[in-house]
Amino acid sequence: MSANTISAGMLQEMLITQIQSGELLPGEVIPSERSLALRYGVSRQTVRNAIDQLVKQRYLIRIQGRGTFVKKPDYNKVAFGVLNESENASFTALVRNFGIEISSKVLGTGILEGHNYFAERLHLSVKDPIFGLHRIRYGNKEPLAIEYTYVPMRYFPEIQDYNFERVSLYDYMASQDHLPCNFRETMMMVEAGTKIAGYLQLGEERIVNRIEILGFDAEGRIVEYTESYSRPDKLEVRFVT
Amino acid sequence: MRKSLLTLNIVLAKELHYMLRTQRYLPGDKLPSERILAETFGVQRATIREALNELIQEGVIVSEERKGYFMARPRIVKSVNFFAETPTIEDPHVKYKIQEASSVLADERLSGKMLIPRNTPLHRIVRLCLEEKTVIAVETYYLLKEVLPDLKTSDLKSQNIAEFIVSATNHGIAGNNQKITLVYANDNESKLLRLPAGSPLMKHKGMVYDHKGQLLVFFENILRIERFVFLRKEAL
Repeated sequence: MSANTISAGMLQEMLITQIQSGELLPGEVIPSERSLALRYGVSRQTVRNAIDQLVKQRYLIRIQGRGTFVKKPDYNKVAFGVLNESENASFTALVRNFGIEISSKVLGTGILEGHNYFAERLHLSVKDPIFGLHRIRYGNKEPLAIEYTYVPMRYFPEIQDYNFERVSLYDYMASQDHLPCNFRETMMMVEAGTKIAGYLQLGEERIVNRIEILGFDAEGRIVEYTESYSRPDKLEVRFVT
Repeated sequence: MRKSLLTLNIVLAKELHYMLRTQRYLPGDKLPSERILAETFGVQRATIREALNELIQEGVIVSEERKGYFMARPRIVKSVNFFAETPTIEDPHVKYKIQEASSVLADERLSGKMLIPRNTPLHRIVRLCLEEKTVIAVETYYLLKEVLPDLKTSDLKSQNIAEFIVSATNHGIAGNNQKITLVYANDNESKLLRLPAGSPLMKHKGMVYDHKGQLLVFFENILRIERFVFLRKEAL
């Protein structure tokens, strides 16, 4: 690459990608300024600017005399909503990359039949059975999000036999060859009602992120409809392409 | 598995939503009374009230004391795909007012955020987004002068400025990075949006890069929470 192809901003993005994908792990020392400059064909000043910025954004930490390290997550903000077709970056995957332990509690499951709204969303006839899964997602035992997920049972006939407190829903969907890999999402902020405020243990601030996700499998079939409510102080909504 | 029941009011709220849409209720239309709705769905009034509350929280309906429930005005859709093949549809209810179009030099904060040297010449554009007479968003854009030296004020009326800039510069986008966070109105924002200082607001911040990693635009938009919805379409 020639000297002017990469800016500090691009380099910064690349490093963030490496941290998020787990190529650079928390606690790992990052390559020296000199070797990064050589690798990406940029000046050391460009490398320094990118690193300064990542230190400011708390992706990296500088320890005098020892080097620059990928920061271990000691704070709660994690990326969310970064879904793209090339990697199935589910909620769990993303948070796990940050070293936070994710757990789920199932609030309820059930089969829905004759419900117009969900049938329409999932492009099903109103008679097709739909499996509903309502969960609380925890990160390090703190509630981060409520997820109401609905999937067509025709693609997942044995879904009732699984316990989604133990099994990842996306792992299961992948095993049935209907992993969502393309998404249509909407995001808004709303005031949480009593129920959601209770689940998320909200204090005075009742505004939460509300994300609606329609997931398509590799063949373009709708395999998931999810509504999630999450705490804006714990989960950061980002769109990266 | 354990419990076999989903929360009834969530599911009920969805059916109610479906009914309102298929029966073509329009913004401002009054909903049937709680009693009639409860009868229609064969549930208790308390249950239908919970479902109505769900829809209030989603912004589908509003309730007016002693008058009943009414269809809300739909939120303004903001696309976050700048690659979209179809450009953003202009919302006829939304107007823009250019508050400021000036030349500035990058200060320390901007040079840090945009990763550009200090004193880099920039266009700074501040515009207000109005719905009827109400200011619903304050948008600030920074654009490198060298990327678009001749910028006309008339160019800045389109709904999605980032989209406009990308098409005007012919650079093509290689990447973008956007974030939506909850913030609280500072003095300036509270004045422009006519809200008490400290009111919760959405902040939509983003950067768009071209193929060479050149930053094309950096924006910080402050929006009224209840008026916007962000949309990300599936890749085709």
